[in-house]
Amino acid sequence: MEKINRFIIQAYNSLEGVLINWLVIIGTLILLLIIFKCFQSTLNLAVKELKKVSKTALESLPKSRRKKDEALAKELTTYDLKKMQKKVVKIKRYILAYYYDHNTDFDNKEILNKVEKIHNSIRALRNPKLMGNTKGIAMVIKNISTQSEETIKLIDQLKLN
Amino acid sequence: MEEKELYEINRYLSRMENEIIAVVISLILGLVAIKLCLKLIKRMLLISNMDNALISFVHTSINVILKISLLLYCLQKLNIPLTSMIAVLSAAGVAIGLAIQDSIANVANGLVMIGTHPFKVGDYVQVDNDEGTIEELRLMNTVLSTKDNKRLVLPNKKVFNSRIVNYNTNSLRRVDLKFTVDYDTDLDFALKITERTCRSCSTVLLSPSPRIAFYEAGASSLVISAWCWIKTAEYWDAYFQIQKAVYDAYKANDINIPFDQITISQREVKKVVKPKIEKKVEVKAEPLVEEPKTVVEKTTVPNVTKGETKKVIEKVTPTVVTKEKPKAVEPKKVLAPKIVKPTSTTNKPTATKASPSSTKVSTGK
Repeated sequence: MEKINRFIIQAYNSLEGVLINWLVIIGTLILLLIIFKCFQSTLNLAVKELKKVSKTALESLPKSRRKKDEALAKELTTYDLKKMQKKVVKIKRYILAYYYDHNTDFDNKEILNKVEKIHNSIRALRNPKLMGNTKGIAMVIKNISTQSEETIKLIDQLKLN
Repeated sequence: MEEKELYEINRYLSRMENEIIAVVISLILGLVAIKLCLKLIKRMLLISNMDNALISFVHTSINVILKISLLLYCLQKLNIPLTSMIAVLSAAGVAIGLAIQDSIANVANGLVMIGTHPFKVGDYVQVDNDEGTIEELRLMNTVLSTKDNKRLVLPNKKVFNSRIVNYNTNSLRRVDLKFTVDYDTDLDFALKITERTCRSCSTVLLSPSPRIAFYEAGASSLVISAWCWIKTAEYWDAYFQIQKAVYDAYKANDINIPFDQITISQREVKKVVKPKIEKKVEVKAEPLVEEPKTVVEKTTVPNVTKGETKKVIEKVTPTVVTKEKPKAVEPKKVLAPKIVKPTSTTNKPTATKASPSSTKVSTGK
């Protein structure tokens, strides 16, 4: 019994360093994976981002639909628009990443076209010609939210497939 | 002594036992770590704007490098000397590298092309004399689909070192067309019609506007040039549409399109009075050249004695046969009765006419 105990202690002493080294490395990697959201599906991430974009767009719309000429509830700053644009680019990449990993027959062009439309709308909002045209801006923002919702629906369909 | 040895062996084995366990644990945990690391790298690469081919290449190469490092680490743990192994591996690497240097060059050029993006999938490109749409960008080769739907696989080394023309870089392209009208046509009217027709084509863009101008006064026609801007994807549709539309417009507006004409004029031929031939005279064709053999025989036989004639004939015939063939010999003259004179014993000059070699023979006697 004593001999076994001694062997275990000896083995532990010699393996301690190796184990600790590897466990530290694995721990760090897992932490990084959590930080970079690698355990989540790219489609889920795309949906989350789309919801954020849609929310930002809707927040700026006038609250009452009847008063169409009313000023925007919240003016979108250049910073907001830049942020939205970055998010749309991310969404595109997430969708493409999903297609890299999964070979599905589902037509990815439609989803990407929708995302592209959102991107174009955000670009249009940054166009100086649209400055002061509240009605036009409201229409474009509404288009962004509509397209985002449609894209989310398509992504849900893709998940089911 | 024996006890000491046994103790040493036991100690060594116990130490090795620990090392083996350590190596096994290292292998298992190392593989797990590599898997996690690859997952992280892949996600980073996918989110970055990198090409799919490059992503798979980077992913695979990192995987291989990490696994080789893990293996070397384990070998080191087992106290196996690595220096000799590394030397062998590097020598093998050099040998393999030399053997597949072309493939390596293809891979290297493929990586550079994927990195620099001279074209992307779906672009219409011209690589030297080959044209087509890019179907696939692989590490070793590039796959093109030609206009007549052939699949063209070009090695990346060739593509990289060739002159590449990418027609899809810009969204707009210009179609350059030339139309010819007759010299009798009102040029301004023709220009106006051409411009109106080009503008009416659905594929032609109005901004930048098409440019119609008088190009040159040709050899048999006035040349009008039309520069129309169109979307790159609609190049051939626009080309054919404009050609047809302009032809129809010229036809509708009575604008003559000249074409090469051949004028054939016929001369008046005077009647030639042919002289009447009363009798048909049949002329037998005589052979122009006779066999020289007979000539020599006739000339030599009467002059020389029996025994000698044989010799003369034997010697003369071959020379005469060979030399008398050319056209210079006129057989009629040779056959003339003057030459054959039975009275003259030494008629040497007759032989000289035939050939110089025969004279030699006769003079010797």
